[in-house]
Amino acid sequence: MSMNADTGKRLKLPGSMYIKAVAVAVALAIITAVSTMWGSYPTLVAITIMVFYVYSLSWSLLADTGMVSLGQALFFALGSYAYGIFVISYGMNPLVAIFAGPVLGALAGLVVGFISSRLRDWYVGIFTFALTPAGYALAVSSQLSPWTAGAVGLAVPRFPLPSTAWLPFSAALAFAAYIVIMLIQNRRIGFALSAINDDETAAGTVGINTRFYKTIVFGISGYLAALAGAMFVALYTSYIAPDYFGYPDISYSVWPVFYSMIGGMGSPEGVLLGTVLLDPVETAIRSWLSSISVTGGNLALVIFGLLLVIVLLKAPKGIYGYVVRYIESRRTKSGGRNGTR
Amino acid sequence: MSLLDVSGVTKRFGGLTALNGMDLSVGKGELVGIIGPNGAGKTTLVNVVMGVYYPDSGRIAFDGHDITKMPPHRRAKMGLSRTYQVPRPFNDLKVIDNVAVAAMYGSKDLSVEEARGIARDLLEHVRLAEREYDYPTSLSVVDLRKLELARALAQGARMVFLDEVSAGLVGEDLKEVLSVVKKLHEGGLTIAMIEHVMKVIFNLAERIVVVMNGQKLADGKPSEISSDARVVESYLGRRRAEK
Amino acid sequence: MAAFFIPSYLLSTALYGLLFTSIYLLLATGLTLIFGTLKLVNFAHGDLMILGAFVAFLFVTLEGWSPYLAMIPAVLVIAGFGVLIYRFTLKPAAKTSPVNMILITIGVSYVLENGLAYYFLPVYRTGVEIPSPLRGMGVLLPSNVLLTYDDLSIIVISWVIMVVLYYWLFRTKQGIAIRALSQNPVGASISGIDVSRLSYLTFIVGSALAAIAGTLYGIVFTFDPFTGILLTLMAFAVMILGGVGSIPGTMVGSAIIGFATSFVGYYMGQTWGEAVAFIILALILLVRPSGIFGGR
Repeated sequence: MSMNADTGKRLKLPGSMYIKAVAVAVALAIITAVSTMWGSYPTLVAITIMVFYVYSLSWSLLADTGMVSLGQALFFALGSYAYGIFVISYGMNPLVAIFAGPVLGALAGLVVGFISSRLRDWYVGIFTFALTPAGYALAVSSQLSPWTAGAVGLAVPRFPLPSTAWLPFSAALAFAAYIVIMLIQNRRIGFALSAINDDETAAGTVGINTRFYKTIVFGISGYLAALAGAMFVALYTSYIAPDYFGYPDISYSVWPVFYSMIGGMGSPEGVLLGTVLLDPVETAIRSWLSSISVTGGNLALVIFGLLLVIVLLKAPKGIYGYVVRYIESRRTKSGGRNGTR
Repeated sequence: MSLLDVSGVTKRFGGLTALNGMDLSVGKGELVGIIGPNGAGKTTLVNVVMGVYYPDSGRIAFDGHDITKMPPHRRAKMGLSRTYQVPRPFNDLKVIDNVAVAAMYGSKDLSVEEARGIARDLLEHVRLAEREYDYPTSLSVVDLRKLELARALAQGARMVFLDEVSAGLVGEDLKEVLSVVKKLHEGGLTIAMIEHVMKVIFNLAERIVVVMNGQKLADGKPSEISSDARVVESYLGRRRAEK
Repeated sequence: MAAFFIPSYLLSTALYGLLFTSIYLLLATGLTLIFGTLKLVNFAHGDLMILGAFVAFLFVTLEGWSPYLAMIPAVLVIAGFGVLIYRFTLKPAAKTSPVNMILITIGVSYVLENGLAYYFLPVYRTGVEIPSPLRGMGVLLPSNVLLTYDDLSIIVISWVIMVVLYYWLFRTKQGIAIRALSQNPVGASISGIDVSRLSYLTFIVGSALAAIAGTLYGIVFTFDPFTGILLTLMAFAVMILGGVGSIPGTMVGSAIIGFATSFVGYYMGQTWGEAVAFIILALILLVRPSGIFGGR
């Protein structure tokens, strides 16, 4: 029986996928344009929106296949470190490294996925979570310090694009990630993933190789999460720290979960909504927390926690879920037909 | 040679022995009934044949191949399918896609368009075509049962296990589902039906297997079974007169 | 005595191992009780523990109580919090999936940790420890290792509580009812057991165990508002390693993880020491997800 009775249901706003893709492209373009005109701080925030959108998509892809990862930061940080190490220790061109580094994330995803595909229910969450401290320990270990600079962290050189191009570049990557998810959902493989999410045993009975697909999906998710990690370093912080592994502070593992669930899982548009709404606040909190007025950030996180609890209890399909349900009820009232999707 | 051959299968769950040296063979094109009291091991038998569980001992062969430890999806590709006592449709997919996904991943690997074409035909065949674009949550039990039948067919199944397909149905609904089952059998599908309703099974089945305590108690034509003293005493009771 | 041949670091690491074991045991037993009986996953369990430690800390530093006495208000406060969390978040969440419960309780954890931080960080910038009048005094073991009275009390108290718990679960009517509930909820309610009251009771006991574990932890180790989530994970590691719902499993699991944390922490640094518990967890999930004593 699917464990995702509430969290996994596909929310398809009736309408062609081309329209939705255009809508998302337009939304991303508007964010880019407005933030750039507004100033350098909004531009930075917009970049984090793009980064965390890619990151949240990586998580919701897994969740929509019935696997809830609580350690997504493992891949995120792998991407960050891979990017940094490729550029610094091996002199790779950052433009190449930002795509090459995440390959490590994909490989890790395949391994983790292979193991997770055997685990049921919430054990996947615990397992993925349990891997993050190991990642952290490796990063700060004396054995790997020559590359990772241990607990001190790595500073990376400036990304070789004019700074005005950083945000559009991130937006392009975000859109690319969206397209990947769209393709997966609408192609043949999407049907298999939906069936697996719904009822894994029945899916096996109709001939779907559930373990294979779950592993593949983990690989894709690993790549996307690592890409987000690489983007985070290249275009935002220029700095890599071991706590990107989500340990001891689990925030890095939890934020993509928040955005996806509050925004509305099952639909990449919903995830965008969640990211746009929550990421600016989260970025503000994070800079708050790392400055002198520590407790302001803590108070904000209290409110965040409450928000998560309330949303999960009352609106498990997220805000987007509400919107979709509302639109669908309007449609059936006016006698609209159930479309030709 | 029989299509399905289960020999000496034992399955334990902790302290409970659900199957204890179970034997069953089903010939190609047969319609076999499987009856027995609750807890006799009928559903476990189906689960073991389908690969949901692996047996502790014994052997299962399908079309001559040993499938004892084969993963479920490969058994599906070989032509085995089942329906569930409580229907388990894919609630996130429309009715047509429920059937189509089975066609996509069943014994043949089809594309989305091809699969949907086949799905449409099959839904016609089971008289469910007008609900194509609805979601399973809005379907009645009868329709859900028919949906599962269509899905089993879409897989390209050569044999299907029907787990209490008549449960909860009476009158017209029951007639509807049974006529579909008959139609499928006449089309060449090998069927094993687990049933509790004696009237249904004694009418439809060419052969009946009685399962008790994880073992085969009796195996023969309906008339033989209803007059078999052991079966009467332990299961049928005075209802042996009903056929 | 053979003890003279044991090097001091071996002895002190073993001692810390025993300490970790005892504390994790209390913590994980509370979690197992709640999970096994009520099928509730609570990621805020460790935060209840730290909250308890903070309550005890306040009573010790502000009112001058002995830390062992301060356990009482800690237990009372945490039991109260536990009931609130159960009533308002866990009970409604239980109707959804286990994953939802994890996420919801992560939210609760955020609220507890940051709420604590909001009040405590301005005053106590770094981590704190509960001061104990017995600090520094103890029995001198071979190789100049000091077994403090605090360490001794902690170990003794933990095991005494386990014995009391065993007696309660296996010899009293309530305890047997709880075990019945954990094995067969429907059957239990049909046999006239007041499931609702019993559920509250179970949660209160589990939270009380967490509060005691927290106070004991706070006497020996430093803690801050954010230690909670790590302790929750340690408890989960112990619980899964030993086998969910099995108390002997929890004992073995806490011993394995307790000693592993201590020894690895000594030889490879604290970070690896903390990480090893999770590496063990990952390995167990790979090999035998039902745990050592798990039946399923």
